Amino acid sequence: MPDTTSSIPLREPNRPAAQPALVKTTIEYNDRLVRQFMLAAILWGLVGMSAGLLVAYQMNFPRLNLNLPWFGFGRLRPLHTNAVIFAFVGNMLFAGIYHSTQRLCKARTASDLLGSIHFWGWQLAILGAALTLPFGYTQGKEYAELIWPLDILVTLVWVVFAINFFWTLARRNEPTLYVAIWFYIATILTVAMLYVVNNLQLPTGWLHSYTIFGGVQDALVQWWYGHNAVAFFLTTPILGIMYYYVPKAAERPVYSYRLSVVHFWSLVFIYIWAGPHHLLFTALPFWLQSLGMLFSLMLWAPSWGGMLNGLLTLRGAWHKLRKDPVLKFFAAAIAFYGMATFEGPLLSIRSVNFLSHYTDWTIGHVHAATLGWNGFMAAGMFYFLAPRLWNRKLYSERMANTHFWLGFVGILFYVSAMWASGITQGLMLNATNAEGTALAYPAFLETVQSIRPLMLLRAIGGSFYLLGWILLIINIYKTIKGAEPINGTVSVYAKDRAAMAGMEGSLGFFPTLFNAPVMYTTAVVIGVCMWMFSHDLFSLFGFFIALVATLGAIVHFQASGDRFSDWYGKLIGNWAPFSALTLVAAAVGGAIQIIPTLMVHTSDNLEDRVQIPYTPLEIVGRDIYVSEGCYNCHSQMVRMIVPDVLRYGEYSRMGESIFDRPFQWGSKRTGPDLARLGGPIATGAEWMRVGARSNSWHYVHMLNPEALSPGSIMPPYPWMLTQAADWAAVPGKINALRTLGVPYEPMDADYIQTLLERQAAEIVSNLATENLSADPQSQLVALIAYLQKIGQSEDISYARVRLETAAPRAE
Amino acid sequence: MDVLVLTVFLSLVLAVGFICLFARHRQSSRYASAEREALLPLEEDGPPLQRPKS
Repeated sequence: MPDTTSSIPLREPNRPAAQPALVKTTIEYNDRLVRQFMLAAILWGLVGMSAGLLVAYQMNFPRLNLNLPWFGFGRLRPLHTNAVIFAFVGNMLFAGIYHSTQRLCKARTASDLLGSIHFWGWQLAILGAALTLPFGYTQGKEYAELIWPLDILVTLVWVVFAINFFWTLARRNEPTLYVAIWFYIATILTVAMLYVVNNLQLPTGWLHSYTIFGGVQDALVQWWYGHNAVAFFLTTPILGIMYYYVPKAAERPVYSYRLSVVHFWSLVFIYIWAGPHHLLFTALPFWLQSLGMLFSLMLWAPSWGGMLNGLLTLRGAWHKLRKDPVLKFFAAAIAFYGMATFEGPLLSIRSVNFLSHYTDWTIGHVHAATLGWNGFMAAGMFYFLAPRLWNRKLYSERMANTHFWLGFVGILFYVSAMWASGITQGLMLNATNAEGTALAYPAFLETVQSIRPLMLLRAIGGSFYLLGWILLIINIYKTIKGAEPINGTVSVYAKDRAAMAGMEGSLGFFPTLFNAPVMYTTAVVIGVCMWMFSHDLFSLFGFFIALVATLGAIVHFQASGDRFSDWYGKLIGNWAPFSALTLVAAAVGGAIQIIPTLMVHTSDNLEDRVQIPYTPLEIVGRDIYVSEGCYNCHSQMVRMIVPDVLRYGEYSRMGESIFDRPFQWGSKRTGPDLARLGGPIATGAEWMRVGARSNSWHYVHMLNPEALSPGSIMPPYPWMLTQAADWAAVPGKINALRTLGVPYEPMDADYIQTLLERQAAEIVSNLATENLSADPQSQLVALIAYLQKIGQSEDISYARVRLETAAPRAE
Repeated sequence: MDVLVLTVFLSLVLAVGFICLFARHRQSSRYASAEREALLPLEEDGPPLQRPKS
């Protein structure tokens, strides 16, 4: 790889040669890459926000689904979430990281080529997502919907990014790493870990795969990923950006550098444990739910430490907010970060989650963070960067200020509407009579109708926000149109390089892990965890360990004269040991939660019942259900709370979804839960099941939901009657599921075809009795077969036999 | 009067203390502190390179 650094040794004429230490080299930064990522972020921001606005209006006016398969809510909502997370925030954070890292390292990005591969590879992955998600090619896991070839592309591009980033750190001309870079390191390493583990899957074709985890394991891994995608993709890199750009814009250093040390390590360590708070009251083991809740509550401290550190950086500069749009956006973004990180732990408290889960309250919480924290940090950063990267004053500060107020009012409309909506619907869904024996509002649709005006207010709030973004686009376009792009430079002296070289390598692997600060900190953390999470003597022993380690550390440092800051100063001058410790801190929580859950033997640890594997036709129907994104609006998890049991039936057991790949417990109930929708095999039938609703009800409901549920906001799916389901892929899918441990007997393609035909024929015949006709191979028939199977289980004793022999059992 | 003596004395203590600490800090190997890194973002870019016109 050639050295791409543009270096011009400058020496003033007619002067004696400078001493070697003072020889100056001027380095030009690769700001072209920053400009590319910034413009991409602005463009994808428009796409992602527009998709969000469209689906918000689709919820209000189902006709906007246009009866087109690729335009339906279930397919466009993943497009919206993926676009705003990976395309908008992704490109934004890459712009910020490349711009700030070069300056903090006083070095040009290590490789221009890797930078270009990173940029174009990332855009290719986004384009791939935009072309596949609307056509129903999805894994069916929230924020991890991309199909496996795109997952591989994303992973490779991320590796390219990581190499370029760490290579730049290794070539830096600054002895130590600034706090922003710590957050970038945590982002790169943790996102790689999360993304790879959660996307472990077995392909059945170029466009389809099954995740290797099933049921409860998939739920735990998915929300370990899902929650920490928020933590390490939407939070830590933006915190790094905050630590660089807020001091820069306020023209004063960060309020407390020492607080940032505490902020970083506590956040990285604690965040990763919080995932299970997405699964409270579900079939997830209770110890995991408790860990998720407790660590979520602990997050209050580091989150607010960081928020206060950011806001107090503006000390003495508050007057600038009146005119400076950049600082205005930053201050509001940090305030929204504080609000969202207060609300998150609040929602993870079991008694609050009882009300809030599956409602719009969660949606409001997420959007306070994404629109307020991510969106406003992005806007502030772009308004800051555009004049510097194109060497021209911002076209209109007035327009930027208007953008701010439009966005601000939009967020307030959006968030307050979602709070009111979530609390209203949550209260209605959970309300019972005085004895607690009957629901006060048994009709789910009635609760939906009560929040319709708030849903419209949300869409209006989103419109305001999007309008503000359009103003940003106009403003940036006018600023850079015809302007000459410029690249920043820095003068580096030979002594700087020498100082950096003296620092790097001064801390080996062994001293990194086995030194007083790390050992004492580890002992305190282990002791406190034992104290909190165990009982009796173990708990007492944990307290004792924590106490002894604390006192030992004080005595040790006082007696020896060592200082924590001396060791830490050395650590932040050594990028590899720093990165290793960061990875350890971020990986511990996930390892403790996930490994035991994966190791336990399934059939020995289930409750009273285990799921009956799907028939070939039900597999086809389930894949259609996943492909249409039904999980975006329907859960399949009756929580262990009285209102859920009264409304839907028995609470869901862990075993009832143990073979589901992906799990479909859901995170939002725009429509009712479906876990008890299925039923037993119908009288006189061999394979056809009939559950809570008849086949004909499902038929009519899928074609026109409002015909059976006046006021329903579910979109119609008329194409399912005419489009053929993919039966040819079933043998490969069954083979894949067998490989993953689903107890199927060996079946050849002919036998599978026979089963498909027989079950489909039974359903079609049943429909015909009510004068409804359907092609046996239509998607609708397969979907009906699946809907009638949801939640069907058998006694654990039968299941054990099936698991051990993988033989079919006659019912 | 006593107050004046006390003020001068305390001022001298502070001044000498400051000089001693400053000297010690100057001689320390890193010539840095945890807060020094906090100043890193405040450095401004240099002027763009002048490229020869082709």
